[in-house]
Amino acid sequence: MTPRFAVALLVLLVAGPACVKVDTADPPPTTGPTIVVAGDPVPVAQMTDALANLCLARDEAPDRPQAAEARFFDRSHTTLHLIARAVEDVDRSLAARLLEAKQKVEADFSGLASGDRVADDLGPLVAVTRDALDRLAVPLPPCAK
Amino acid sequence: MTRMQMSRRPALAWALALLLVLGACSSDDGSSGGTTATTSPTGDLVVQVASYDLVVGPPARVIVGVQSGDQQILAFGTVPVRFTYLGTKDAPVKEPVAGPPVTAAYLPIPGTPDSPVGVIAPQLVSGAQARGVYAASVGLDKPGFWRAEVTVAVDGEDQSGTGAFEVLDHHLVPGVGDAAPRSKNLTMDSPPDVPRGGIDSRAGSDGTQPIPDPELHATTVEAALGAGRPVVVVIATPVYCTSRFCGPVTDMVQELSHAYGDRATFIHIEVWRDFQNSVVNQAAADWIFRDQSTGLNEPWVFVVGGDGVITARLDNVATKAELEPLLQALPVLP
Repeated sequence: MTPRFAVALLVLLVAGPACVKVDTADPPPTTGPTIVVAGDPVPVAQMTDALANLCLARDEAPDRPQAAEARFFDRSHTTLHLIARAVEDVDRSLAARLLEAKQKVEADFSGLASGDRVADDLGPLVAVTRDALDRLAVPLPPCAK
Repeated sequence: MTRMQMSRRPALAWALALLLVLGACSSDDGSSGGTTATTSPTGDLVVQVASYDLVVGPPARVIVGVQSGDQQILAFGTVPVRFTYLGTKDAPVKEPVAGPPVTAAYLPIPGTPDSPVGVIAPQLVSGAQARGVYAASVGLDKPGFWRAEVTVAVDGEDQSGTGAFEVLDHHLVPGVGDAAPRSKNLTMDSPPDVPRGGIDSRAGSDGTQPIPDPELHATTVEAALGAGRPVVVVIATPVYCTSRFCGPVTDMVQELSHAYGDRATFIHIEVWRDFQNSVVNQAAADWIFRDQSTGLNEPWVFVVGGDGVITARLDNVATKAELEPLLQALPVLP
């Protein structure tokens, strides 16, 4: 970590908690503790939620691949990039495995692969995302424990 | 080969910190021009300036991605964006004043749908339905940190968000009018000791997967420019991309190469020779990592004339609609 990045993080840690406005109507993934990833605070619950939805996408892919695709892009995809970016600083090999597994799933969806194929590729993505969250000390969803 | 040792976006952390200090506790009603941070934990819009290497100067493309707190994508139509100068880390502006709103138009990620005909109002949609950013031409007159603020009516309700970004006093990546690096990029004919994943990350870290765009790895920039041919260079890492756009942009350039291969040489330069060990391909470093004290961002698309001078540069999101007119303007080569 560079000195100036550390100072910026410190400002975040000091300024952030004092000014957070909690709106109980918001979905859980946007509240609670955060991890700063490349300068942006990311709710830990959002990461857990991303993995939970990967599990659901894996389970529904064989019969409902379009629903799995929507779930993947709506609830997991963006956060997977953030998880990979976060883990990149502590375990680059793990980040590589995560991004490679994610890319296979993306290729499945863009290539209109069968639901079974999508499910087959979502399995390893679930596993490596679980490893990444474990590395970041982020709570795992029940489906990944 | 270049080993990368820096954090990719240290400047953004400063921008965010400055934004927090200047506006962290302001209201969300838009009147004060500030929300809590680049991301909005209170469920309002999440705004991120997606442009790289913005500099002081005449109007240039600035792209902004907008999401809701629950990861829905703001898509289609146009949005007003207000830009505010925040100062520098040594001299922050005490009372920043927002500039006039600038209209930014939806720019779909290649392979995703454009705005339906007649649709002006943006919508929050599923990422499976549409993905894109908003682009505006903006002149930024001071180096330092800036804030972009988007306020839009979604389903009849005003929502807003802000994002901070840095403006430099000079480009770190070659720009229009600069001489293109005459890179000796890896090709399909590179020696066997070159990792195939270094030619294209989609080959996998073990090099066992097929490279889907071999025609973009057929020659070097040096050879193409040496022959006096215009070159379209896409610098992207489809697997290890930080921005989510490398794959679609690379695919789009591949598609254009089939239509305009008689007017230019198309080349894909993979960013990483070895991602796991942080080794950047020298050819990629020639273009986008010349100042190694800064971050590394991708993807990029450059159009270079046969004289070796860069005529267009598109950062992060490049679309067929932007590139195709440039290619159509090139003469068919003998």
